[in-house]
Amino acid sequence: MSRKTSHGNRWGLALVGLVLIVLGGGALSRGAAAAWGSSGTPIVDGDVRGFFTGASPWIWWLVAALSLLVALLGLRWLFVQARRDTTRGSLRLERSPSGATEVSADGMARAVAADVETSPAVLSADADLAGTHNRPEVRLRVVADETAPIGELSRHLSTVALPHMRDALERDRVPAVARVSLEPAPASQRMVR
Amino acid sequence: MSTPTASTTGGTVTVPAQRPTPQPPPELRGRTRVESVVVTKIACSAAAEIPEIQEVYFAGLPWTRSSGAEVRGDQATIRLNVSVAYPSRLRAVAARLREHVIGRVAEQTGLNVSRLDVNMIDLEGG
Repeated sequence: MSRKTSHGNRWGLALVGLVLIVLGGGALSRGAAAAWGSSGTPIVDGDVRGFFTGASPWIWWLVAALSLLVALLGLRWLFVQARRDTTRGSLRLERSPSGATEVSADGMARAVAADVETSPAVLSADADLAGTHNRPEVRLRVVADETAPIGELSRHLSTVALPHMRDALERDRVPAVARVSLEPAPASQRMVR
Repeated sequence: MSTPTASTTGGTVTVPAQRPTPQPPPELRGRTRVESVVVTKIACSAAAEIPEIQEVYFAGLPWTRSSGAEVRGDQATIRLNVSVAYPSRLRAVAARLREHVIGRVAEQTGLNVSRLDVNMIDLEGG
């Protein structure tokens, strides 16, 4: 899920919630009024029926069109959930008349993840490339040994893994986001200190 | 101006022997065409000589195009799928690869490589 999608999700959910609160509040007040006997009139009274028969038949076309619009918006909302920020396919390093050089984003991500895993503090790592051809970014998910010093992990990232990647891409800056989770190491991989 | 005359003796006509037509020099006889498969093989084996190139793939990943060459006249375009050692400077490796392969193809076939695309489908080591 991309950041844009989660932003859209928040607004969409807020809107749907607002609509449901208004409808629910209306129904509740109506029901409460009916229960206390102050109002026994039906919701669909003469005025409402008159409005619909007066506006017939175009009002039904309008209702159908609105329903279709809501359904299409719902479908679009469903499909954007599959949208991702990460780069699929290839990252273009250069393009000139004498030829283009591309590197597979998956291959690059695998290499960076394998590089991160060389640290003894890291149990497993996974990487994704994001951003554009001109501004590649890397997202790391690192599972670290909870007993290992966390400084070792950040030292490994900042002095080994990320410089390697900057060197490979020949860029001064490759923004990186690392999400680190701590887990107990399996007995065979436990660090002895 | 002397015109060749045919002497007629007893009903047979004798014509002077024809001079053999001069043949072109041996290097101009026939046409040599280097097939694209040959260029592909030369390019792949030349690419494998670069130390940072771990492997050259004839076939690429299932959804990408395979390594190959296309020959048109004396121009060739080449596409290579390679696996590169990591960490190494990828653009520098590509430049060295391009220079080496273009030189080797020109040396062995006389073809001029007008375009060489490098697709690094995997990075190994670390």
